[in-house]
Order: sequence, then C-alpha cells, then structure tokens
Amino acid sequence: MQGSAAASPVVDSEVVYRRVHDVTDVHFMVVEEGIKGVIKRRPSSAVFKLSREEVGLSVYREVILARHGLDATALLKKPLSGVVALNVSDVRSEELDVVNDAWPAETDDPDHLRNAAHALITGLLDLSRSQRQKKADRLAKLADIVIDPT
Amino acid sequence: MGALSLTGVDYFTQATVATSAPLSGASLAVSDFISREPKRQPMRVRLPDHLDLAARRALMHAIQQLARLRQLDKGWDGAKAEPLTDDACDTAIRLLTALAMPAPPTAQLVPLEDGGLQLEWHVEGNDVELEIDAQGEVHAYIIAAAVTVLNREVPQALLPTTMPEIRRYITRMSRILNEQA
Repeated sequence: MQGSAAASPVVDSEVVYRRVHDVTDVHFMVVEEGIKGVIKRRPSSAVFKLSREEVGLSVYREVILARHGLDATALLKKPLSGVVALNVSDVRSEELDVVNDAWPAETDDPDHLRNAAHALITGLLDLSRSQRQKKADRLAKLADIVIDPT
Repeated sequence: MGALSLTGVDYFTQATVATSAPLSGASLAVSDFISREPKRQPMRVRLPDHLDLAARRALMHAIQQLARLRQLDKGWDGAKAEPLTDDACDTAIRLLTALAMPAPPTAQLVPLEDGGLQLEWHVEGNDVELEIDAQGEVHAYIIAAAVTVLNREVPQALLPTTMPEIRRYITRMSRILNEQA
C-alpha cells in the first residue's frame, strides 16, 4: 500500500492541511485586534517557517486523506494541536509549489495512514530571509482554521 | 532595589518605583508539554523607571508569556524543536522593554523551532513582527495599512536606531485601538 496511494499529481483545486502546535498558553494562533472588539484569529507566520533541515513545509492532501477514510482530525497528535487549511491554488499564486511526499522517511508515526497524504510546500528554501518572511506572512493570512484548539 | 519573583521572573526596579504592580491574569497554567518544574534560572527583568502603571502591567504580561515559553522542553514541537535560548530571551526582553508604552496593542509571543521566537502585534491590517533567532538576532517585518514598510534584518548594533521606527508603528496601532474605544 505504501508508495502507491498518493501518486496522483497535486492539482490546483485541492486543499492541503497543516498541523498547528498549540499547548496551554503557548499559541500559534494570533489575534488581530479590530474595530469595536471584533477579533480575528489566524495562524502566526511562524507556522509557515522552515525549521532547520526542512526542505519544505509538511502538509497533508485532503483528497488523499478522504481516500483513506480520514479527515483533518487525522493530523492531530496532541490534545491541543489544531489544523489549518490552504488552497493549493493560493499557495501556487505565491510562486510556491505543493508536491507529493507520501510516506516520508522521517516521521515519528511512520505507519499512520495519514502519511499517504503527506506533501510538501516547496520553493522557500532558496529564498532570502526577507522573502521567506513575506511568504510565511502571506500563507498565514491565506490559511483557514479548520480545527481550532481553543 | 526591590525584587518580585514570580514563576521564573525576577522583576526589579529602582528603589523609587513600586514593585507591587498588580498582576491580573497571572495564572501560569502548564501543560504536559511544558516542564512542571522550573529548570532555568529566573530571568532578570529591569522595569524602566519612567513607565506608568499601565505600561508596566502590559510589559509584565508580555514577560510572563516569555517566562512560559522558556519552560518549553526540547522536542516541544517534534523532535527537532529546541528550547528558547538565553540569547533569544535576552533580546526579547530588550525589545519588549524598549517598546513598552501605555495601552499598547497586545504583544503576542510565538516560539520558533530553532530556539528563537517572534514578537507580534496585529491591528487592522497593520502588523509588526520581530523574529528573534536563536542567536538573538532580529528580523523586523512591518506592514502598515497593508503595505510592507520594513522587511530586513536589524543587527544588534542597529537596534537602538531602528527601535524608534518600530515603536512609531506600534504607537500608531495603539492610537487606532484607542480611537475606536
């Protein structure tokens, strides 16, 4: 089964999910203070920054998860993690790409079926720090909260 | 010099400044992912003498967020996630102190996997994000009315001259919020 389920190319109409770490009092969702108490919550740009040794941002393809009977909740690892969603077309409009990376080698739960849907947002690695910051900010503002830990 | 120790932070001021600023909302919940026992020396935070009570409260609230983040263990977000470094914390304290003002927008602190963190303020299409890396170096990113006005690294040596510019944008955010109030 491994290696065959996610062979289809990632198309613009797809949605991808990204896990957002969140523990008590340590949040990756930020609030935008607004008119008369209206507060908008969205992920921090930190959610879309590469850590050391990463070549792309880990995401999971909704269509492949569904093919395995899974949904966004399959990404949750800890009681307080959340999930945000991005349209692939939005990612590509930022001159980034989404590519298959099913069954990644380095994962702490290698047999979980969600790994069939694993993909990477690529194109950040070669950018300058300023360019990465701008892309991370754009992705954060394009993302929708699917599972909110609070 | 008076001192007040509260869960990993020693606040201290000059003798002329009261050290008993109320700490509303100071509950310090910890989760399974944060050390239950403090392992690190308390941070030493000098509260500037000129700050009024409101500014001091806002600063202390932000410092308490930082104290919580300091308790994150290695592996807090996957095996590679590092605890906050002392250099990053020191820079964060310097920035928060320099940017303290009455009625500021809420400072939001977000840890980074490399041991750094981000300080963020967001008000109606205006964003100030100060990324502090594990070495304590700062990258400033500011959007004013949806236009990027600053997006560059700010070496430590240039922080004193750049801070007024950053402060000006946070003051503008504060003004927006206060005009609405």
